[in-house]
Amino acid sequence: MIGPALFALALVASWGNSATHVVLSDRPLYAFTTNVMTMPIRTQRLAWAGVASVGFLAALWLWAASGWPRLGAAAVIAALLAIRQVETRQWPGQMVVRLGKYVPAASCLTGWLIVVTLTRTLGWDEPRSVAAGWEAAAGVMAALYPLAALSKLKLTGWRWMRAEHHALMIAERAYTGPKWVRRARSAGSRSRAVCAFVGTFGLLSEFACAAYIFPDARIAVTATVLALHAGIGLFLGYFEPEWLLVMIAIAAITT
Amino acid sequence: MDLPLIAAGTALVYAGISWLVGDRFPFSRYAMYADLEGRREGAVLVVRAGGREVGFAEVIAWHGIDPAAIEPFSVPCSLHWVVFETQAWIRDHTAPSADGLTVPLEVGYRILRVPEVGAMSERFEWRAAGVGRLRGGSGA
Repeated sequence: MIGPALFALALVASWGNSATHVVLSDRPLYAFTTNVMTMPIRTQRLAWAGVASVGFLAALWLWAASGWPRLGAAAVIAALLAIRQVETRQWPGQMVVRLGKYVPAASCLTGWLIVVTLTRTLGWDEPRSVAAGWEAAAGVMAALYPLAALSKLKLTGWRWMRAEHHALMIAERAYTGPKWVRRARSAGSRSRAVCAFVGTFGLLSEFACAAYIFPDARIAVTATVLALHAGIGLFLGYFEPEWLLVMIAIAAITT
Repeated sequence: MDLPLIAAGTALVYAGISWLVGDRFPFSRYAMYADLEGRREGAVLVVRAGGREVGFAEVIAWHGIDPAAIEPFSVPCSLHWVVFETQAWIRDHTAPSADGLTVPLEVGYRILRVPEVGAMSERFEWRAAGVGRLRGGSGA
């Protein structure tokens, strides 16, 4: 039960992230400061997002707890697509995508939905079909990080791992965050060992995530990704719980 | 069909479609920070008020600074969201005149260069200057 609950939480995190950015799009959310939160909230937009959120939660209930899980999954995916469209239109160009705002939970749920629908059509019974759906979700998750690694190889090649690249990336972020974080980033950006490790581990661990297709490897891959995200949080300054929640959830369901 | 084969098959199909279609929900190549080729410098936006570095949201009245002028232009900037939010903040907090605004403002970039690890250098490129007022009343 913990696995599906965590997956549902990942979907809520995905929705909540986009909905928050829609409601608070009139202020600098990424450069978050307490001053920003004292600005008055546009009540009409808040009400609109509240109603939409009730609809999203109803769709989530359909998927997780009703007799129409496929209909619910389709509704959840449609809702996430819709809120993301609204969010994307409030930013110039493809800023939302370039900021690394991806939707791993929706991607995995799409895999789940397609395979459950296919296997039910082929006459599989419900429990086996749902198990196949979660394997499909695991398959999608197994593809995400290797795709990121392949993109790095395509655009930069193996030189992506060069310590100098990561020294610069970390140094750029050494002017924001709490004092101890700034110090850690400043020290990290000056250390060849740290920067070389970040580059090598960053690329190779993403490729290694392909092993998530194997049920026996899922816990180890999840632990690796936890380490990866801890490093990203420390040195690059962002943390996206959706990714980890999805990975832990699917591992809990399928192992 | 064995369940592990379903995972492998789905991974291949998802990866293949993502590679073909790119960033189209729910597919993506997840290419954030993938393009580091030829990146020798990085631009970090800096706002100075009265000679002191401040967060852009600390300045609640701006005058004389064109948001379009503070793009990083040819210098790579991996923190472009800061630039975008600063531009939006300036647009939303532009004062119609300089009357009563006494704090000198400068907006530009700290340009970092890392020829090799441990040998970072920095220089400043100022893009725009004006006057403003800080949160709490300084400058009025």
